[in-house]
Amino acid sequence: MSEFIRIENVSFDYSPEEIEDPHDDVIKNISLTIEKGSFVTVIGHNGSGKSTFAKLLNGILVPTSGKIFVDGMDTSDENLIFDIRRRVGMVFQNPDNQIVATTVEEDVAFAPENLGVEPSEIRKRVDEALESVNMTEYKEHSPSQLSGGQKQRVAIAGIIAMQPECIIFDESTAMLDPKGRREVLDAIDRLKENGMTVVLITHYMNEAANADRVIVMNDGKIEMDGTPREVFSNVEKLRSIELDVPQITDLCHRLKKAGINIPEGILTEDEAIDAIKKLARRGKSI
Amino acid sequence: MLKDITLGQYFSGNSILHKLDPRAKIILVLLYVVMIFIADNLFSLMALLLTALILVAVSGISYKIVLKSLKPIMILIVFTTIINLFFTTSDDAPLVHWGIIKIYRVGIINAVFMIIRIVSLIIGTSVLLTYTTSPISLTDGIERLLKPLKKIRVPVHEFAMMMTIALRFIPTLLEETDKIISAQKARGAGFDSKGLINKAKAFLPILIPLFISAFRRADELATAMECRCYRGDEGRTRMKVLKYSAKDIIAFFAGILFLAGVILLNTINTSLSI
Amino acid sequence: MSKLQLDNVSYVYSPDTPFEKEALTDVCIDFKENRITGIIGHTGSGKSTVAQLLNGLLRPTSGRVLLDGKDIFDKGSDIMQVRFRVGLVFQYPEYQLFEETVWRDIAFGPSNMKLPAEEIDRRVRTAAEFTGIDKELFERSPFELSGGQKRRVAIAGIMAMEPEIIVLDEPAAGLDPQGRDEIFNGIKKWRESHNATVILISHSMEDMAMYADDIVVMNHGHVLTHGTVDEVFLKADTIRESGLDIPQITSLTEELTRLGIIDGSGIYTVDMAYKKIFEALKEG
Repeated sequence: MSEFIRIENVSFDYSPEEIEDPHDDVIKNISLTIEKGSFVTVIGHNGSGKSTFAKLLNGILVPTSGKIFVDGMDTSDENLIFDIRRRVGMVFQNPDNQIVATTVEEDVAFAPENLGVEPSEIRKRVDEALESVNMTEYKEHSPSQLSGGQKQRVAIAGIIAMQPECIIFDESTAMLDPKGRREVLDAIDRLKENGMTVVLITHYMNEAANADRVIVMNDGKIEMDGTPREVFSNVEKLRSIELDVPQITDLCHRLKKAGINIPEGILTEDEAIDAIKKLARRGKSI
Repeated sequence: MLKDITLGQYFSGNSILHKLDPRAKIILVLLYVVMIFIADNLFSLMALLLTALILVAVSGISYKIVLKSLKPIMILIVFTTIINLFFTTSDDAPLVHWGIIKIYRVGIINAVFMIIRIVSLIIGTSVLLTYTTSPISLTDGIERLLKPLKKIRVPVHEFAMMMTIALRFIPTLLEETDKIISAQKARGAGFDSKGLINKAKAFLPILIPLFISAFRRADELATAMECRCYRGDEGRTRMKVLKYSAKDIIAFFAGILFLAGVILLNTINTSLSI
Repeated sequence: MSKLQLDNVSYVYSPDTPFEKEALTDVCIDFKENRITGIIGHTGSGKSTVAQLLNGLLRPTSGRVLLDGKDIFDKGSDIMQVRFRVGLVFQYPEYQLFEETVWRDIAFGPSNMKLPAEEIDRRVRTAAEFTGIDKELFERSPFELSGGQKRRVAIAGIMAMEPEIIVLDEPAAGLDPQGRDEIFNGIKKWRESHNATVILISHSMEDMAMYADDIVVMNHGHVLTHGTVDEVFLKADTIRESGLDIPQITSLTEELTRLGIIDGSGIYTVDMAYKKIFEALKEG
């Protein structure tokens, strides 16, 4: 995979005019790269800096020090800002506050209209984007008639219509009920299958299970960075920075501690069932 | 509850009225309003009211809804009726003379005319415009009709954008207002205090949260719009391009013919004109 | 004993308009005194309507709401007193904060009750203690606080009315795990010290498993089932049927039971599951 976003020694502070004190920084000297086509989950509790981190990736915020490059373009270069925003789309937390137009299809058309796309091409993109989030039948609805999960899917379609290479989800599931959350996560899964680079910011641990990579943030720094299995193997460390672990991971961790030979970092029900089945069978055969 | 108001609501449908170009409808509504004020006898006014009612039938919207939309303006109707009935004076002998109350023939005619005017105005503009035109095509229509003003630096696009956003957020903010009222009621807030200052004070627990939330929404929306590459009118295209069709031309002609009809009806000399 | 009761309640929103919608149909629920009852259901199941019926913000289209056996809409019953006795915390309550200082915002409810000044102060301080609001924050503007703190100030504002029953609509929505635990633990402590009845509205079965004594499952304006947590979790299929997620741990132990590895239905905490599975694997 090739590199898509490169973050070099980035720090960020909301009030840089005040006396230089690196402890006040919301983001403290982060360096990392995000590969094209990867699905990265960023986890942290409220105030860990994860949302600020998200806003730095498409130039809504610009680093106080350090540099961020999106596909080679510096996010602090004002001439490139629209190129960057077109490539890196963003879906926010509150579904109500990101829909501009009074009908679903007009809203999805908003970004391509801003980009000056031809009317017939906009129509095509809007129809495709709505189809990809299963919202075609609602295209003439008013946003206020939709559920939270439906509104978030409209917001996603609005970003897809921009044809970005990467979409950042800034706690986009936090305000949804379980059904809405599932709808949005399904839409994200489909994006990933189609080769989209996805960065998912969340505090729900089980949303990290499908990711290629999990980055755990705490106090503006990267605390852990690895595959879901690597990260969730470290239950104590996650707890020490006030994060939950999924129930299944917790259960397997406790079994392991009690001397049962079960692998660490189990994330899904299927994995757990397989592991326990094997252990039970082995036990019976002795 | 606040969200039950049907005045100004859009009802989607497939009637010929829904399909007319919004610009054509805006012009026709203006024409209709002009006619209401030109009309000055019972024939022309009745013709206008009848037309409004026929248009309701054409639009496929139920009369029940239309009737409901008149509810909020009931006070206005009652008020103007009273003013016209009791405060119109004339040299003729009063029909009713009851202490200081004098009702003249002209007063009754004025009151009836005024009721017809208000009702026609509300029904006509609703059915021609707000009921049958989606907010987005309405703002589109206004933006394009006003386009020539851009040359003299009137911010037409910004104005239309503001209107779109306002229309988009009205239901959201109404719902929010309902919620805040309930939440403060749950904390024992009373909205029935006496005196103007106390009354105003009683509304602070609603207004302050509402303003704060509106600002927060505005802030988040602005960021979301920037993320979708919004930079004003510059280089912006539209998905739906407005085009006049044969229907619109026919509607225009019908409107002008009707105007001529109203002027003609006005000339009929009846004892009921003023 | 039943403290608060919905007796055959139906509720219709916007009757006789194009937006008419029946939210509840013939709902009967008994909320028992001194217990935490969770009402669970997906969006649109009618659970938030129930909340607003319980303190008289909405009036049932038919049926009665009984507080200590008395209809809250009876002639001579003062609806304001009902609202002071049944405290309701709305979803995202931080959006209703409006006062200049934290202290004054928490004091809004008790002030409306026309209590003496020192009693108001005592109640504000007690409520702040249970919700973990530091005294040092009292003179700060509520709008300067973090999201979790604002939420707790808003909950304190209802607790300060010292209602006999407190109804909370999704008190933990949108909070991170730490914020959620702080809030639920505060509610639990408050219930114990005030002998109050608590009604929690939620769509998270996992939270309910941790904090509730009884659970009411709602779907499409009806009550699907009502019982203790143990009883309700034995009916995992009913929960699934209502479109809710059952906790990972419940579905895992169900599957293991089906495979004959353990014997455990109605398991809903990691603790319970751990004991069962540990036993099974150790024996082998």
